[in-house]
Amino acid sequence: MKTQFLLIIVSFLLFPVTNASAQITEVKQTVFGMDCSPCAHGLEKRIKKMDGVKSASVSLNDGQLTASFTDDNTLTLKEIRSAIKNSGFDPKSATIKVRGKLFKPDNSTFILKTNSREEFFLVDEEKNHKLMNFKNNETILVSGKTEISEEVGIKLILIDINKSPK
Amino acid sequence: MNLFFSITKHIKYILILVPFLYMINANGQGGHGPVFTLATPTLGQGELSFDAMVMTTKQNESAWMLRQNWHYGLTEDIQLNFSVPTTLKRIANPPQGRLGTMMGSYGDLEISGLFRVFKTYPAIGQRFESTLLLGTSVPTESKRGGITVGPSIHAATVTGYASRSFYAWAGTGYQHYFKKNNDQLGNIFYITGVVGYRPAFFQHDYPKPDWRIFLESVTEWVGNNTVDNIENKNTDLVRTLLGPSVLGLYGKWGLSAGILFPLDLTTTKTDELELFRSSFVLSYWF
Repeated sequence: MKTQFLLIIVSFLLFPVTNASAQITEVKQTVFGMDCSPCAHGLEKRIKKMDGVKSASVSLNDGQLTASFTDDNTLTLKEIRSAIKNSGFDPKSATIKVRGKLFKPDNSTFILKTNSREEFFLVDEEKNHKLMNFKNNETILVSGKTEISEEVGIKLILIDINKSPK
Repeated sequence: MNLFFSITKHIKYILILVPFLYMINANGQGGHGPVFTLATPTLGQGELSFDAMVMTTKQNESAWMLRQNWHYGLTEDIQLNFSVPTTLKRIANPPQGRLGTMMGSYGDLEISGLFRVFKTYPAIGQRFESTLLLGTSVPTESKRGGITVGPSIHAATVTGYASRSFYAWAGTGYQHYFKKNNDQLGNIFYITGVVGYRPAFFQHDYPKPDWRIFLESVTEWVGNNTVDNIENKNTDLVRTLLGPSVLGLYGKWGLSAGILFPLDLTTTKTDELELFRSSFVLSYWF
Protein backbone atom coordinates (compact mmCIF):
# COMPACT_ATOMS: atom_id res chain seq x y z
CA MET A 1 0.00 0.00 0.00
CA LYS A 2 2.80 2.40 0.92
CA THR A 3 4.60 1.60 -2.32
CA GLN A 4 1.49 2.39 -4.31
CA PHE A 5 1.07 5.63 -2.44
CA LEU A 6 4.68 6.62 -3.12
CA LEU A 7 4.30 5.76 -6.77
CA ILE A 8 1.26 8.00 -7.02
CA ILE A 9 3.21 10.89 -5.52
CA VAL A 10 6.25 10.24 -7.73
CA SER A 11 4.10 10.02 -10.82
CA PHE A 12 2.42 13.27 -9.91
CA LEU A 13 5.82 14.98 -9.65
CA LEU A 14 7.15 13.46 -12.84
CA PHE A 15 4.08 14.08 -14.96
CA PRO A 16 2.39 17.27 -13.85
CA VAL A 17 -0.93 17.92 -15.52
CA THR A 18 -0.76 21.08 -17.56
CA ASN A 19 -3.62 22.28 -19.67
CA ALA A 20 -5.09 18.96 -20.62
CA SER A 21 -8.66 19.01 -21.89
CA ALA A 22 -9.92 16.32 -19.61
CA GLN A 23 -12.74 16.04 -17.13
CA ILE A 24 -15.69 14.17 -15.71
CA THR A 25 -18.41 13.84 -18.33
CA GLU A 26 -21.09 11.79 -16.55
CA VAL A 27 -21.90 10.78 -12.97
CA LYS A 28 -24.41 8.35 -11.56
CA GLN A 29 -24.00 8.91 -7.86
CA THR A 30 -25.73 6.78 -5.23
CA VAL A 31 -27.04 9.02 -2.44
CA PHE A 32 -28.17 7.77 0.97
CA GLY A 33 -30.58 9.67 3.21
CA MET A 34 -33.00 11.20 0.71
CA ASP A 35 -36.58 10.34 1.56
CA CYS A 36 -38.75 13.18 0.28
CA SER A 37 -39.59 15.31 -2.69
CA PRO A 38 -38.06 18.53 -1.31
CA CYS A 39 -34.87 16.53 -0.60
CA ALA A 40 -34.66 15.67 -4.30
CA HIS A 41 -35.64 19.18 -5.35
CA GLY A 42 -32.94 20.75 -3.15
CA LEU A 43 -30.19 18.45 -4.35
CA GLU A 44 -31.16 18.74 -8.01
CA LYS A 45 -31.22 22.53 -7.78
CA ARG A 46 -27.87 22.66 -5.98
CA ILE A 47 -26.16 20.47 -8.59
CA LYS A 48 -27.70 22.36 -11.52
CA LYS A 49 -26.29 25.59 -10.09
CA MET A 50 -22.72 24.33 -10.33
CA ASP A 51 -20.62 25.63 -13.22
CA GLY A 52 -20.16 23.04 -15.94
CA VAL A 53 -23.32 21.01 -15.26
CA LYS A 54 -25.25 20.23 -18.43
CA SER A 55 -28.12 18.30 -16.81
CA ALA A 56 -29.01 16.83 -13.43
CA SER A 57 -31.85 14.68 -12.18
CA VAL A 58 -32.60 12.83 -8.97
CA SER A 59 -34.41 9.56 -8.40
CA LEU A 60 -35.71 9.14 -4.87
CA ASN A 61 -36.66 5.50 -5.32
CA ASP A 62 -33.21 4.58 -6.65
CA GLY A 63 -31.40 7.04 -4.38
CA GLN A 64 -29.44 8.27 -7.33
CA LEU A 65 -28.20 11.56 -8.74
CA THR A 66 -27.54 11.47 -12.49
CA ALA A 67 -25.61 14.36 -13.98
CA SER A 68 -23.85 15.17 -17.20
CA PHE A 69 -21.27 17.89 -17.69
CA THR A 70 -20.11 20.28 -20.39
CA ASP A 71 -16.88 19.56 -22.29
CA ASP A 72 -15.08 22.47 -20.69
CA ASN A 73 -16.09 21.81 -17.10
CA THR A 74 -13.49 21.78 -14.37
CA LEU A 75 -15.58 20.05 -11.75
CA THR A 76 -14.16 17.33 -9.57
CA LEU A 77 -15.93 14.34 -8.10
CA LYS A 78 -14.92 15.71 -4.71
CA GLU A 79 -16.86 18.93 -5.38
CA ILE A 80 -19.94 17.00 -6.46
CA ARG A 81 -19.76 14.82 -3.34
CA SER A 82 -19.28 17.91 -1.20
CA ALA A 83 -22.44 19.48 -2.68
CA ILE A 84 -24.38 16.33 -1.79
CA LYS A 85 -23.07 16.45 1.77
CA ASN A 86 -24.04 20.13 2.03
CA SER A 87 -27.56 19.10 1.08
CA GLY A 88 -27.55 16.86 4.14
CA PHE A 89 -27.07 13.50 2.43
CA ASP A 90 -24.40 10.87 2.17
CA PRO A 91 -22.77 10.18 -1.21
CA LYS A 92 -21.81 6.54 -1.62
CA SER A 93 -20.28 4.83 -4.64
CA ALA A 94 -20.72 6.29 -8.11
CA THR A 95 -20.45 5.15 -11.67
CA ILE A 96 -18.65 7.85 -13.61
CA LYS A 97 -17.34 8.54 -17.06
CA VAL A 98 -14.18 10.59 -16.98
CA ARG A 99 -11.70 11.80 -19.55
CA GLY A 100 -8.10 12.23 -18.54
CA LYS A 101 -4.46 11.48 -19.21
CA LEU A 102 -3.14 8.07 -18.35
CA PHE A 103 0.03 7.84 -16.33
CA LYS A 104 1.84 4.58 -15.78
CA PRO A 105 4.59 4.92 -13.20
CA ASP A 106 5.13 1.17 -13.56
CA ASN A 107 3.51 -1.84 -15.20
CA SER A 108 0.99 -2.35 -12.43
CA THR A 109 0.03 1.22 -11.49
CA PHE A 110 -2.35 3.22 -13.62
CA ILE A 111 -3.42 6.73 -12.79
CA LEU A 112 -5.89 8.92 -14.60
CA LYS A 113 -5.46 12.66 -14.14
CA THR A 114 -8.02 15.26 -15.11
CA ASN A 115 -7.48 18.93 -15.90
CA SER A 116 -8.94 19.77 -12.52
CA ARG A 117 -6.01 17.89 -10.94
CA GLU A 118 -8.21 15.10 -9.66
CA GLU A 119 -6.60 11.67 -9.76
CA PHE A 120 -8.20 8.29 -10.19
CA PHE A 121 -6.32 5.15 -9.30
CA LEU A 122 -7.45 2.74 -12.03
CA VAL A 123 -8.18 -0.84 -11.01
CA ASP A 124 -8.51 -3.60 -13.59
CA GLU A 125 -10.50 -6.11 -11.53
CA GLU A 126 -11.34 -8.32 -14.49
CA LYS A 127 -7.67 -8.53 -15.41
CA ASN A 128 -8.33 -8.06 -19.10
CA HIS A 129 -5.21 -5.88 -19.33
CA LYS A 130 -6.89 -3.31 -21.56
CA LEU A 131 -4.92 -0.59 -19.85
CA MET A 132 -1.70 -2.02 -21.29
CA ASN A 133 -2.99 -1.07 -24.76
CA PHE A 134 -2.72 2.61 -23.99
CA LYS A 135 0.41 4.69 -23.90
CA ASN A 136 1.71 6.76 -21.12
CA ASN A 137 0.36 10.35 -21.27
CA GLU A 138 -2.40 9.29 -23.66
CA THR A 139 -5.86 10.86 -23.29
CA ILE A 140 -8.46 8.20 -22.58
CA LEU A 141 -12.14 8.04 -21.71
CA VAL A 142 -12.82 5.71 -18.80
CA SER A 143 -16.05 4.56 -17.23
CA GLY A 144 -15.91 2.87 -13.90
CA LYS A 145 -17.25 2.47 -10.41
CA THR A 146 -15.68 4.55 -7.68
CA GLU A 147 -14.41 3.38 -4.32
CA ILE A 148 -13.17 6.14 -2.10
CA SER A 149 -10.88 5.71 0.86
CA GLU A 150 -8.69 8.02 2.92
CA GLU A 151 -5.59 5.93 2.21
CA VAL A 152 -5.73 5.45 -1.55
CA GLY A 153 -7.98 8.30 -2.65
CA ILE A 154 -10.39 7.55 -5.49
CA LYS A 155 -10.16 4.05 -6.89
CA LEU A 156 -11.93 3.63 -10.21
CA ILE A 157 -12.84 0.04 -10.96
CA LEU A 158 -12.85 -0.19 -14.72
CA ILE A 159 -16.00 -0.93 -16.67
CA ASP A 160 -14.91 0.38 -20.03
CA ILE A 161 -11.98 2.25 -21.50
CA ASN A 162 -11.53 3.98 -24.85
CA LYS A 163 -9.09 6.20 -26.59
CA SER A 164 -10.35 9.75 -26.56
CA PRO A 165 -9.71 12.29 -29.34
CA LYS A 166 -9.36 15.05 -26.76
CA MET B 1 -67.80 35.99 8.81
CA ASN B 2 -65.64 37.26 11.69
CA LEU B 3 -62.84 35.07 10.40
CA PHE B 4 -63.21 36.60 6.94
CA PHE B 5 -62.88 40.10 8.38
CA SER B 6 -59.89 39.06 10.44
CA ILE B 7 -58.14 37.71 7.35
CA THR B 8 -58.99 40.91 5.47
CA LYS B 9 -57.58 42.89 8.35
CA HIS B 10 -54.30 41.02 8.15
CA ILE B 11 -54.03 40.97 4.38
CA LYS B 12 -51.29 43.63 4.57
CA TYR B 13 -48.96 41.12 6.23
CA ILE B 14 -49.64 38.60 3.48
CA LEU B 15 -49.02 41.26 0.84
CA ILE B 16 -45.69 42.12 2.44
CA LEU B 17 -44.64 38.49 2.47
CA VAL B 18 -45.47 37.64 -1.11
CA PRO B 19 -42.85 39.86 -2.81
CA PHE B 20 -40.36 38.83 -0.14
CA LEU B 21 -40.80 35.23 -1.27
CA TYR B 22 -39.69 36.15 -4.75
CA MET B 23 -36.75 38.30 -3.64
CA ILE B 24 -34.88 35.44 -2.08
CA ASN B 25 -33.16 32.83 -4.18
CA ALA B 26 -31.91 29.72 -2.43
CA ASN B 27 -32.20 25.97 -2.59
CA GLY B 28 -34.85 23.95 -0.83
CA GLN B 29 -35.49 20.80 1.18
CA GLY B 30 -36.42 19.68 4.66
CA GLY B 31 -39.44 20.17 6.90
CA HIS B 32 -41.06 17.02 5.59
CA GLY B 33 -42.38 15.84 8.90
CA PRO B 34 -45.59 15.77 10.89
CA VAL B 35 -47.78 18.74 11.78
CA PHE B 36 -47.89 18.83 15.59
CA THR B 37 -45.05 16.72 16.88
CA LEU B 38 -41.29 16.98 17.04
CA ALA B 39 -39.33 15.64 14.07
CA THR B 40 -35.70 15.63 13.02
CA PRO B 41 -35.33 16.83 9.42
CA THR B 42 -33.22 19.91 8.82
CA LEU B 43 -32.61 21.93 5.67
CA GLY B 44 -29.40 21.64 3.66
CA GLN B 45 -26.75 24.35 3.84
CA GLY B 46 -27.99 27.68 2.45
CA GLU B 47 -31.51 26.39 1.88
CA LEU B 48 -34.63 28.32 2.75
CA SER B 49 -38.22 27.31 3.25
CA PHE B 50 -41.42 28.97 4.34
CA ASP B 51 -44.61 27.66 5.94
CA ALA B 52 -47.89 29.47 6.23
CA MET B 53 -49.92 27.74 8.90
CA VAL B 54 -53.49 28.24 9.91
CA MET B 55 -54.20 26.80 13.34
CA THR B 56 -57.38 26.52 15.29
CA THR B 57 -58.20 25.20 18.70
CA LYS B 58 -61.66 24.84 20.13
CA GLN B 59 -62.64 25.10 23.75
CA ASN B 60 -65.99 26.71 24.32
CA GLU B 61 -65.30 28.70 21.20
CA SER B 62 -62.63 28.53 18.54
CA ALA B 63 -59.38 30.48 18.46
CA TRP B 64 -57.76 31.00 15.08
CA MET B 65 -54.16 31.84 14.39
CA LEU B 66 -52.03 32.31 11.31
CA ARG B 67 -48.38 31.46 11.76
CA GLN B 68 -45.59 32.26 9.33
CA ASN B 69 -42.50 30.14 9.74
CA TRP B 70 -39.19 30.78 8.02
CA HIS B 71 -36.50 28.10 8.06
CA TYR B 72 -32.90 28.54 6.96
CA GLY B 73 -30.16 25.91 6.78
CA LEU B 74 -27.02 27.44 8.25
CA THR B 75 -25.21 24.15 7.67
CA GLU B 76 -26.63 20.78 6.72
CA ASP B 77 -26.96 20.06 10.47
CA ILE B 78 -28.03 23.44 11.82
CA GLN B 79 -31.33 25.07 10.92
CA LEU B 80 -32.57 28.45 12.10
CA ASN B 81 -36.30 29.04 12.50
CA PHE B 82 -38.31 32.20 12.81
CA SER B 83 -41.94 31.83 13.70
CA VAL B 84 -44.33 34.78 13.65
CA PRO B 85 -47.90 34.46 14.92
CA THR B 86 -50.83 36.52 13.82
CA THR B 87 -53.94 36.07 15.88
CA LEU B 88 -56.98 35.91 13.66
CA LYS B 89 -59.56 35.28 16.36
CA ARG B 90 -58.86 35.50 20.06
CA ILE B 91 -60.57 33.68 22.88
CA ALA B 92 -60.60 34.65 26.54
CA ASN B 93 -58.48 31.76 27.81
CA PRO B 94 -56.46 30.17 25.06
CA PRO B 95 -54.99 26.77 25.93
CA GLN B 96 -51.55 26.91 27.45
CA GLY B 97 -49.53 24.61 25.20
CA ARG B 98 -47.28 24.75 22.18
CA LEU B 99 -50.00 23.80 19.68
CA GLY B 100 -47.33 22.81 17.18
CA THR B 101 -44.19 21.71 18.98
CA MET B 102 -41.77 22.88 16.26
CA MET B 103 -42.90 26.49 16.58
CA GLY B 104 -43.89 28.95 19.27
CA SER B 105 -46.82 28.74 21.63
CA TYR B 106 -50.09 30.54 21.10
CA GLY B 107 -49.25 34.20 20.40
CA ASP B 108 -45.47 33.84 20.86
CA LEU B 109 -42.92 35.04 18.33
CA GLU B 110 -40.17 32.46 18.47
CA ILE B 111 -36.61 32.19 17.21
CA SER B 112 -35.10 28.75 17.43
CA GLY B 113 -32.33 26.56 16.16
CA LEU B 114 -32.42 22.90 15.21
CA PHE B 115 -29.15 21.10 15.74
CA ARG B 116 -28.83 17.65 14.23
CA VAL B 117 -26.52 15.96 16.68
CA PHE B 118 -26.60 12.49 15.22
CA LYS B 119 -27.30 11.03 11.80
CA THR B 120 -26.73 7.79 10.03
CA TYR B 121 -27.98 6.64 6.66
CA PRO B 122 -28.17 2.85 6.58
CA ALA B 123 -29.57 2.50 3.05
CA ILE B 124 -31.17 4.32 0.16
CA GLY B 125 -33.95 6.60 1.42
CA GLN B 126 -33.35 5.77 5.08
CA ARG B 127 -32.12 7.95 7.91
CA PHE B 128 -31.79 7.69 11.68
CA GLU B 129 -31.38 11.10 13.25
CA SER B 130 -31.39 12.92 16.55
CA THR B 131 -31.96 16.63 16.76
CA LEU B 132 -31.83 19.23 19.50
CA LEU B 133 -34.18 22.22 19.39
CA LEU B 134 -33.35 25.37 21.34
CA GLY B 135 -35.42 28.51 21.20
CA THR B 136 -36.58 31.68 22.83
CA SER B 137 -39.82 33.56 22.46
CA VAL B 138 -41.40 36.91 23.13
CA PRO B 139 -45.17 37.41 23.32
CA THR B 140 -46.99 39.45 20.72
CA GLU B 141 -49.73 40.29 23.20
CA SER B 142 -49.36 41.74 26.67
CA LYS B 143 -51.91 39.49 28.35
CA ARG B 144 -53.09 35.98 27.70
CA GLY B 145 -56.09 34.69 29.63
CA GLY B 146 -55.78 37.67 31.96
CA ILE B 147 -52.14 36.91 32.80
CA THR B 148 -49.23 39.12 31.73
CA VAL B 149 -47.09 37.08 29.39
CA GLY B 150 -43.31 37.13 29.68
CA PRO B 151 -40.63 35.85 27.36
CA SER B 152 -39.76 32.18 27.41
CA ILE B 153 -37.03 29.70 26.64
CA HIS B 154 -37.62 26.33 25.09
CA ALA B 155 -35.53 23.20 24.70
CA ALA B 156 -36.49 19.93 23.09
CA THR B 157 -34.90 16.82 21.72
CA VAL B 158 -36.17 14.32 19.19
CA THR B 159 -34.91 11.15 17.66
CA GLY B 160 -36.34 9.04 14.91
CA TYR B 161 -36.32 7.24 11.63
CA ALA B 162 -37.46 8.22 8.15
CA SER B 163 -37.60 6.16 5.00
CA ARG B 164 -39.57 6.05 1.78
CA SER B 165 -42.27 4.00 3.51
CA PHE B 166 -42.16 4.37 7.30
CA TYR B 167 -41.54 7.22 9.70
CA ALA B 168 -41.29 7.34 13.48
CA TRP B 169 -40.12 10.06 15.83
CA ALA B 170 -40.23 10.45 19.60
CA GLY B 171 -39.37 13.64 21.38
CA THR B 172 -39.65 15.64 24.54
CA GLY B 173 -39.44 19.32 25.35
CA TYR B 174 -39.73 21.94 28.06
CA GLN B 175 -40.76 25.56 27.86
CA HIS B 176 -40.17 27.96 30.73
CA TYR B 177 -41.96 31.28 30.93
CA PHE B 178 -40.31 34.13 32.78
CA LYS B 179 -42.19 36.27 35.23
CA LYS B 180 -43.42 39.64 34.04
CA ASN B 181 -45.28 42.23 36.12
CA ASN B 182 -45.53 39.62 38.90
CA ASP B 183 -47.38 37.25 36.57
CA GLN B 184 -46.02 34.05 35.13
CA LEU B 185 -47.53 31.50 32.80
CA GLY B 186 -47.15 27.87 33.80
CA ASN B 187 -44.22 26.02 32.31
CA ILE B 188 -44.90 23.34 29.70
CA PHE B 189 -43.33 19.92 29.67
CA TYR B 190 -44.35 17.67 26.83
CA ILE B 191 -43.62 14.43 25.06
CA THR B 192 -44.53 13.67 21.49
CA GLY B 193 -44.66 10.56 19.38
CA VAL B 194 -45.53 10.02 15.76
CA VAL B 195 -45.60 7.17 13.29
CA GLY B 196 -46.04 7.61 9.57
CA TYR B 197 -46.63 5.50 6.52
CA ARG B 198 -46.46 6.11 2.81
CA PRO B 199 -48.57 3.55 0.96
CA ALA B 200 -47.12 1.84 -2.08
CA PHE B 201 -49.41 3.67 -4.48
CA PHE B 202 -47.91 6.97 -3.27
CA GLN B 203 -44.35 5.79 -3.76
CA HIS B 204 -43.96 7.24 -7.22
CA ASP B 205 -40.56 8.68 -7.96
CA TYR B 206 -39.69 12.38 -7.84
CA PRO B 207 -41.04 14.70 -9.24
CA LYS B 208 -44.42 13.02 -8.98
CA PRO B 209 -46.61 13.85 -5.95
CA ASP B 210 -45.60 12.21 -2.72
CA TRP B 211 -48.18 11.62 0.06
CA ARG B 212 -47.84 10.20 3.53
CA ILE B 213 -50.06 9.82 6.57
CA PHE B 214 -49.17 10.17 10.23
CA LEU B 215 -50.67 9.30 13.59
CA GLU B 216 -49.51 11.95 16.03
CA SER B 217 -49.64 12.13 19.80
CA VAL B 218 -48.82 14.95 22.21
CA THR B 219 -48.94 14.81 26.00
CA GLU B 220 -48.54 18.10 27.84
CA TRP B 221 -47.98 18.83 31.50
CA VAL B 222 -48.72 22.48 32.12
CA GLY B 223 -47.77 24.07 35.42
CA ASN B 224 -49.77 26.48 37.54
CA ASN B 225 -49.97 30.10 36.53
CA THR B 226 -48.80 32.82 38.89
CA VAL B 227 -50.79 36.00 39.29
CA ASP B 228 -49.52 38.91 41.40
CA ASN B 229 -46.78 36.70 42.78
CA ILE B 230 -49.30 34.15 44.01
CA GLU B 231 -49.32 30.72 42.43
CA ASN B 232 -52.79 30.08 41.17
CA LYS B 233 -53.37 26.50 42.29
CA ASN B 234 -55.48 24.26 40.12
CA THR B 235 -54.50 25.98 36.91
CA ASP B 236 -52.18 23.14 36.03
CA LEU B 237 -53.28 20.39 33.71
CA VAL B 238 -52.22 17.24 31.94
CA ARG B 239 -53.62 16.41 28.56
CA THR B 240 -52.95 13.87 25.86
CA LEU B 241 -54.02 14.52 22.32
CA LEU B 242 -54.01 12.03 19.48
CA GLY B 243 -54.96 12.33 15.86
CA PRO B 244 -54.14 11.87 12.21
CA SER B 245 -52.33 14.14 9.82
CA VAL B 246 -51.46 13.99 6.16
CA LEU B 247 -48.56 15.47 4.24
CA GLY B 248 -48.43 15.92 0.49
CA LEU B 249 -45.26 16.97 -1.31
CA TYR B 250 -44.95 17.98 -4.92
CA GLY B 251 -41.61 19.34 -6.04
CA LYS B 252 -40.98 22.42 -3.96
CA TRP B 253 -44.51 22.61 -2.55
CA GLY B 254 -45.89 20.95 0.53
CA LEU B 255 -49.39 20.74 1.92
CA SER B 256 -50.22 19.23 5.28
CA ALA B 257 -53.20 19.09 7.58
CA GLY B 258 -53.96 17.42 10.85
CA ILE B 259 -56.29 17.28 13.78
CA LEU B 260 -55.71 16.17 17.37
CA PHE B 261 -58.40 15.16 19.85
CA PRO B 262 -57.95 14.90 23.62
CA LEU B 263 -57.75 11.36 25.00
CA ASP B 264 -58.06 12.45 28.59
CA LEU B 265 -57.77 15.66 30.51
CA THR B 266 -56.95 16.07 34.16
CA THR B 267 -57.75 19.60 35.18
CA THR B 268 -60.02 21.60 37.38
CA LYS B 269 -60.74 23.88 34.45
CA THR B 270 -63.43 21.59 33.10
CA ASP B 271 -65.20 24.49 31.48
CA GLU B 272 -62.13 25.05 29.31
CA LEU B 273 -61.75 21.57 27.91
CA GLU B 274 -59.85 21.68 24.62
CA LEU B 275 -62.11 19.86 22.19
CA PHE B 276 -59.68 19.66 19.29
CA ARG B 277 -56.57 21.24 17.80
CA SER B 278 -56.12 21.43 14.07
CA SER B 279 -53.67 22.85 11.56
CA PHE B 280 -53.41 23.42 7.86
CA VAL B 281 -49.96 24.16 6.47
CA LEU B 282 -48.75 25.32 3.09
CA SER B 283 -44.98 25.00 2.62
CA TYR B 284 -42.62 26.25 -0.05
CA TRP B 285 -38.97 25.38 -0.52
CA PHE B 286 -37.01 28.04 -2.39
